[in-house]
Amino acid sequence: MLLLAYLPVFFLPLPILMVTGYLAAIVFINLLCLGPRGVIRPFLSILPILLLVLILTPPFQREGEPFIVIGGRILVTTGGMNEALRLIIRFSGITLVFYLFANITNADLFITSCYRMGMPFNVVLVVTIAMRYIPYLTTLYREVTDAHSLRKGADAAVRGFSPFRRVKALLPVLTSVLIQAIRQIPVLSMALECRGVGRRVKRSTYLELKSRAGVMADIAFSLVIILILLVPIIRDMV
Amino acid sequence: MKNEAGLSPTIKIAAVAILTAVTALFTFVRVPFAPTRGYFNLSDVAIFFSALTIGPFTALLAGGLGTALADIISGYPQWAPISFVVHGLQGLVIGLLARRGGLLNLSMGAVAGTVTMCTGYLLGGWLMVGLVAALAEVPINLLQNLAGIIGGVSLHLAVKKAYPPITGISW
Repeated sequence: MLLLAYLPVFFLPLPILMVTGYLAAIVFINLLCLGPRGVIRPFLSILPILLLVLILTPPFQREGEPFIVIGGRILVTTGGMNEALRLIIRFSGITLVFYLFANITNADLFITSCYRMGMPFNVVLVVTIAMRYIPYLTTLYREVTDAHSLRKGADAAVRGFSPFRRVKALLPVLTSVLIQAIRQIPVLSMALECRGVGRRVKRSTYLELKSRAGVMADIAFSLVIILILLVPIIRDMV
Repeated sequence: MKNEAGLSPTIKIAAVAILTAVTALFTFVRVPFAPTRGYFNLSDVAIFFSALTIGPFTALLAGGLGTALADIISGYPQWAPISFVVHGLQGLVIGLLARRGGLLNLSMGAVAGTVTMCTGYLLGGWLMVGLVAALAEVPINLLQNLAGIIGGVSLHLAVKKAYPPITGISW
């Protein structure tokens, strides 16, 4: 959560040099925590968007001094370059912070801490179960795809670049996966019921038992009994 | 699955959890659409399917959580908060408008869902990479939504026909 608090700085109207320094600090933290891959991988994943920002943003920002002039026409101004740089730094910084957050945070601990901070139990349960089922469904998808390929011939229907033909070719596979997934709903529901989820009378493990003075008296009395039993043994030893 | 008081809470939890995982899986499935290696994902297919088959509230949670989880897992965690809000709202809007049935309601749901998704990503993109770069992504989002409508409706009809008990799970 503390990591995510670093983000608002990228949206403040600070001088570009200051924001660049801030980005350098975040790059340094990523290098320390994750090594060079922790910087290179997220940068490579956003490189097309950064190029898009660099190409498209300057021509639409006309403030400032001329920066690139071709044939007497001002193509890019310093204001446009400044804005493009600011956006590139912002998006790179946001990406690096989120990448660091996703890679150094244990998913179980994150969900547990969300629960401790007040997230409803049912939402926590949904996220936990979903994370458990994602690998299962991914394997199922691969198996169904293989089964369909064996019946139809490997990817015969998805040649070419028509997206709608590709989606159409995927539909039988997706239908099979969906039916298999939906069949899990009643089974999972029964499993949850067996664990006491959704019951009006909660399982004893979910009940908070208030300690009474009597409990403390019972413990003290038990200790006295143990001490009395120990007395002859200690006397023999002495 | 239904009792006098309605759908049991465990069925609701199980349905949302499974459809969240399904949405995440569909988000991982990438369909190339150009020789330049551009692609779109099938998250919208899963959201349309959830909204039409199970209902708006399942689509709200499964759409939001599923796409956000997929973004985190596939290495684009910076988009997770935007995906959570935008796809969640998209599922809710489609489900609320299309739940009464009929072609008109379905069309209204499809259009409203597309507008919600495209506007949401435009605003989110504007915040992160500026308006011009965000506008460049609108056609891709529209294409993805169109594939989502076709795929989602087809899957809804196919699954309903192949597995009729699905009609018992809706809220």
